[in-house]
Amino acid sequence: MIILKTPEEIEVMREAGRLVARVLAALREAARPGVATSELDVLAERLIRDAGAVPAFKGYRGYPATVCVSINEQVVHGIPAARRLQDGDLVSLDVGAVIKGYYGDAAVSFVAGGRPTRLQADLLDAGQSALTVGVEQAREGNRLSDIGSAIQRHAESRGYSVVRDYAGHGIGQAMHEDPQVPNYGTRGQGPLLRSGMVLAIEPMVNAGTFEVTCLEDGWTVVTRDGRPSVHFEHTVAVTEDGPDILTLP
Amino acid sequence: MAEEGLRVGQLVRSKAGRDAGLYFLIVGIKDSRFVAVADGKVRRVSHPKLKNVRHLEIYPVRMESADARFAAPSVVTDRAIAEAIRELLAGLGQPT
Repeated sequence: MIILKTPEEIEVMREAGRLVARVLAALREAARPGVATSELDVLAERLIRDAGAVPAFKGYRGYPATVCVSINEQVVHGIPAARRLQDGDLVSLDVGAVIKGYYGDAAVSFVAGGRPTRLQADLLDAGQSALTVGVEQAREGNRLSDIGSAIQRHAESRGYSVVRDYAGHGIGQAMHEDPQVPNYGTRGQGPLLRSGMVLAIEPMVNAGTFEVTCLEDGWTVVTRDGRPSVHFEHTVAVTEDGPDILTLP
Repeated sequence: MAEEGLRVGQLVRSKAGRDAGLYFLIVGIKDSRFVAVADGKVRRVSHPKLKNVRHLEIYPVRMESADARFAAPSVVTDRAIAEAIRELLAGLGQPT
């Protein structure tokens, strides 16, 4: 069942989203070569709790940390650990926070330290713009699959692939609500988008095959061919005035 | 945080095989390539059909409280599965 949110609820979700965006900006600043991914996790939890909010991921189906840090061929759900970032690592950070019972969820990818390689730069641009074209479809009157279809067409037109085993999701008083928001599909299918729906749109774009596999830790998802992957996410409300991105600073 | 693309209770439609065109719920996940499906009528939950996910059209909706219900498989009856499929299709505006 898709739960519609009132404008008041969406404003609370914007509070959560704004905090998530600020935490992501601080983490990105801190994610320099030599920093352990567990240090980023400590920083994220402190920033979230200092703001009077609660980390959304910690304890979610047993997930042990506040952030997901996924490096290079890791797609999503990398668990922070002693691993230190190296110059040139392709880093994806995913953060969620809960304020007054409402969730915000966003992710960003970037290269730690020096200049990205040509492939990294192009993959990052393709992932970021795939999110943009997906968000653009989150409009009243469109069908849900219009989002995934636009993302897939965009990523594949750039020569990359989109992950199918994991998807975006509805979000509100739970992190994962209906509907699921796949990053692929054919236009014109699925539920009609209506004002009040709030969706976490999150393309995972791979340089090589779309196939992924989950490591033995039960969380870390990696590309099957070992090639790099990027992940960009916003929490977006469908409104009468068009898509409203809630995870902006 | 991304959601697993295939979950128990999720609505799917067969694209290949003798059951092509029929709607099912995922009642078990073998691995990232194969899932068990049932519709409570031609495929009972006691004898689900193993399908290659490439042969399924995946719908972005799930049976209500699916995780809890499938955690105790004996609680999910064929009638409940058939009813859930009807309700999910009605919610999608698809003819049953």
